[in-house]
Parts: sequence; structure tokens; C-alpha cells
Amino acid sequence: MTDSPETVVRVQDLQLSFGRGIQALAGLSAEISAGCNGLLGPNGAGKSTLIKVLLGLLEPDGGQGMVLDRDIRRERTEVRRRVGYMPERDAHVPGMVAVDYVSMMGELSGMTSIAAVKRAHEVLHYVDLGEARYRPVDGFSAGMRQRLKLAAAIVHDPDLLFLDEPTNGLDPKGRRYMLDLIQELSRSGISVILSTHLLPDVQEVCRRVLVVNDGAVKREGTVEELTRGADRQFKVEFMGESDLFLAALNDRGAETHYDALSGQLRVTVPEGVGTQPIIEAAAASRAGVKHLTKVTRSLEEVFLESVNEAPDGDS
Amino acid sequence: MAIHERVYTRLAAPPRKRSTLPALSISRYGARQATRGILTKIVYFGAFTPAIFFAFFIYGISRNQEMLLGVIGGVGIGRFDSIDQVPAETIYQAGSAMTWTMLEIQGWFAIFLTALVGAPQIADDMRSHAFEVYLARPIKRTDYLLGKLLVVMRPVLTIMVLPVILVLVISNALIPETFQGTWPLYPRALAVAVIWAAVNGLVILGISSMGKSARYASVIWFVLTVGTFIVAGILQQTTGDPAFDLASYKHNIYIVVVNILGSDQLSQFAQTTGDEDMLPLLDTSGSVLPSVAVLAGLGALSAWLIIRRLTPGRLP
Repeated sequence: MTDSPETVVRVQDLQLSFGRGIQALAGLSAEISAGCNGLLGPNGAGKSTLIKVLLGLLEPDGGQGMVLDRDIRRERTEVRRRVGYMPERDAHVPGMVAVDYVSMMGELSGMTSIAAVKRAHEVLHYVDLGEARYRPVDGFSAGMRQRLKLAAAIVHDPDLLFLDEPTNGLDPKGRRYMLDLIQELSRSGISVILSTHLLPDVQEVCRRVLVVNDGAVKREGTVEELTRGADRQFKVEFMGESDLFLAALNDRGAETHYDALSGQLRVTVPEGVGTQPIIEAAAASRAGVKHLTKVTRSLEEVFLESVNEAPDGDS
Repeated sequence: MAIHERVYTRLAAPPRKRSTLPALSISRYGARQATRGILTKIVYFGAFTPAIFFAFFIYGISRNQEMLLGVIGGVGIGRFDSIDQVPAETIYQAGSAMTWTMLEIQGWFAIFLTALVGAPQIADDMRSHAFEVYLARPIKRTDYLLGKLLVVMRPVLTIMVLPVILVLVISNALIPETFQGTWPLYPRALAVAVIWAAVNGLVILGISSMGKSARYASVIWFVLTVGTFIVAGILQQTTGDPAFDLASYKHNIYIVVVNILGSDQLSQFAQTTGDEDMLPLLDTSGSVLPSVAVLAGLGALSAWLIIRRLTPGRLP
């Protein structure tokens, strides 16, 4: 995965409301660096709206934004020239054959007619639609349509690619293929912003993640940073009197969550003290610590935390 | 067995700053796909059949001097012994009468072809969300509008102008003496066809942008063109008030057409032949402006409807 510190998207206090007071973007601010970035969020979180605002397909009510150092309000055309967009919904031109559709998109992006046709054949082969390139797109399966949209998005070789739910409606094989393509494109130097609600997709191909909900960024960071959990959380296996041990931990300012049935204890210690309170509490309560490990969270936990939903069961 | 490795190749040079003529790209690819339907092909090729009949008619009179002079004399209100004696103006009258008649016939084909090609243009793009992919490209809204307009105009213009020009060419080839009088009809017929196709195109696109159903767009189009023609005709006939004619789309087009072709000559022709259909049309009280205003208003309203639909925040 290629990741450089270069910022590809910078937005500040973006606001957008639809009719009847629905606030799609509520002062969204973010900086997205080059490489493969995941835009995570539940349905209706504002992911697709953000992409459309960045492309100039929707006019924000307030705030500022830059894509590849171009202003999203004043330099829309220039932004679109350097960006590829794969929309969430099927967006083909009815009755058009695949190669015409992709080459037309190339021409509209500034390619000459001959170059666009040549490139359309290339990218259709690349996404494994070489055999179907003279077929009308209306007859394409869901997987083929997704790949066709990707081909149209990369025909002009953009510097930044917005992918809105690219694995939607795909079977496992199709999903795998799509994720491989995204990884390859990212490796070739194209920055990718992958908008999805499917956590495994992001975990597989993205290094950085933005969790969006209610039109604002709730969390952001690398996948490692987000899943590492707080440095203050530990999982403890112990021998001895649980009541005494828990009381000793609480006396030292630690928060505890003990599941008596499984014998699992989670301890959150105060900031900057490390494992010291646990060791002291064990010594004071004459408990024996068998296992002490830092808690690692899954991306799903981070996601659910961010969108203020309780995880199902004890994770 | 050869194994092909899947490799993404980056372009050596980035595309130009902006497509030179994006509207032409949209129209080229759009027209290719818009004229694929069987019905569209039938109407398209069917529109050339009147030209065949006209060609046979011209061939017939070109072989019979008496009949030729009879026709020209009938139109030009005069009797001549040979074609050389006929003034160029009289030949123009005959030519413009023929051109008008042909354009009137082609206009009916154009109504059907406009519906078949134009009604789905924006409605289908809205239904299939193709709007998003067009407008995510470095093009302007006017490029999209112009591109779609050209998609409709191409076939409509072809069936309007090509048969007429073909018949004029055949006339001039078979009766060379007529060229001196009829040559002004070439640019005038072309101008009429361009205006007719452009107005038809803009209006059908405006209707098409009102919803996601091409079928409803077609119905509205037929109501606007044929429906208003019939209703306005009935009202005009019963009340005797020519103002009702302004409510007819087709009537307004006719007024503009006859003025471009030369209404004076056509009036003479209509009065001579007693053409019941044409006489009321030519009774425009000397002014073409109300009809031009109605058509310009319709065109502006259509353009506004389309551009409004393409405004960020209003995309379907």
C-alpha cells in the first residue's frame, strides 16, 4: 500500500441540510491523506453526501473543502478532471454497450476520441469485462455492473478515486475480486477513498479510516490506531478472591468489568500509570495474576462505539 | 496456455484540461444508442418515402413539357409557352410551394421521431442515475444540455432536410432551368429544418426532464404538438378568433416556416390553388412575432427546466 503524507482531501466545517431540516453534513471537518482510506459509517451517516459535495454534485450550505489542492466550489471542473467516481447506484446509460460507455466517459474527461477508445478496451480487460465489452450494459449482472462502474471511474487514470459501496450486491468471489482491484489501484499510486458500511472491506484494503455518523467525523486514524484500543485497557486472568482483588483495583482508581461466569476481567487503569495498579492490587489482595494482556478492539467495536450503539453481547 | 497477468497501467500523460467539445461526444455516443429501436428505424427510414413520391412526380413532369408548364403556371398565376420564358420568381414560387408541402409532411414524421429519440434522453438518465456519472466529469451543465439536444437534433434534422434537399437536387438535375429560381430554397430549407429540429429538441428535452418516465414524456409531447393543433383549430374555427392559433405549437412552427420560405409567394400559391389548410395559416395579419415569441418562450422554459434539474442539490 502506498501511503504518503500528502493530503488529498481537506474539508472544514462542511454543512448541508436537505428539506424538512434533515442535516446530512453537520460541520464535518477532516483531512484525508494519500493512499487507501476507508470512509466508514452506517446507512444515512453522510458518506455518499460527502463524496457528492466533494465532486460538486451537491452544493454545501457552509464550510470549505479542497480536493487535490483545488477548491470544491470554485474549481469543480478541475477537481473532476483529476478524480474518478464510482457511484453507489447503478449509473449506466440505458442501451449503451460497455465499450461505448467507458470510452464516452474517457472523452468527457478530456481524452481524445482515439485515446479514449483504446483506453476503454484496456480498462475493460483490466476489470475482466473484456469478453463483454460489446454487450449492452442493461444485461449485465450486479458484479459486472460494479466492475463496469470501476472501469469508467479509472478510464482517465485519475489521481484520486471515490468508491461508493463498491462491493454492494456482490457474491464472495466478486467481492474478493473487487477488493483485489482496489488494492492494486492503490498500489499503483492512485489514492482511494472507499465509502462503505462493510467493515471487513475497509480492514482488508485501507490503512486509514474515518468513521462518519450524523454528518460528522466521529473517529479517524490508521486501522492499527483505532483497533489498538486505549493503552489503559487490560484483560486479566487471575487466581484468588475476586471481591478483594476488584476492591483493591477500585481503590487504586481502576475501572473493572468482571464476568464471573467466564472469569474474564477487564481493567481500565488511570492515564499514564501502565500496569502498576494491577500488580499492586494483586499483591495487596493476595491474588495471583495468570495472564495480563492489552485489550485489542475489533474495527466493529470501534465502529459501534462511534455510532453510539451497544455491541451485541460481550465482545 | 498463455497466462495474462492483470496489470493496471497508468497513462503516460494526463488527459487534456477539458474535453474540447464534450457536447459532441455526448451526442455521438447518445445518437448511436438512441436510434437503435425498431420503431425509431421504421419512422426514420419511413420519413424518406415522401421524397421518393416527389422524385417520381418531378421525373414525370420533367418528361412532359406541357404538364411542367401547367404546374408552374398554376403556381405562378400565368401561362407560358416554354420553360425559358418563366421568370425566376415564378419558379421560386413553385419550388417554395413544393418545399413547404414536403416540410409539412416531414414535420409529422419529425413529431414521432422527436418523441422516440427525445423523450427518453433525460428521463432515462434520471431513472438510471446516469446524471451522476455525466456530471462527475469535467463538463458543464450546458455541455450536457447541448449534447442531449444534438442527440435529438441529428436524426430529426436529417429527416427534415435531407429528403427536401434531395428532391430539390433531383428537380434541378432533371430541369436545369429551375436552378436559377430555386437555389435560395437550399439555405432556406436548411434554416427551417434547423429551427424546427432545435425547437422540437429543446421542448422534448424540457418535457423529458420533468420526470423519470419516457412514456409520460411522449404523451405530454403529443398533447403539446398534436393535441393543441386540433383543439386550437377547432376553437379558431368555431369562434373565428385567430388568437387561438397561437396556442397551437404546430401552428406557430408553420408561421415561422412559411415566413422563412417566403410567405408572400406561398400566399399567392394558396390563394391560386384554394388550399383550405394553408390559407388560415398564412393569415398572420402580417406579423410573425407572436409565434416567434411563443416558440422562444417554450424553448426558454424547456432550457430552464433542464438546467434547474442539473443544479447541484436538485439532482434526482
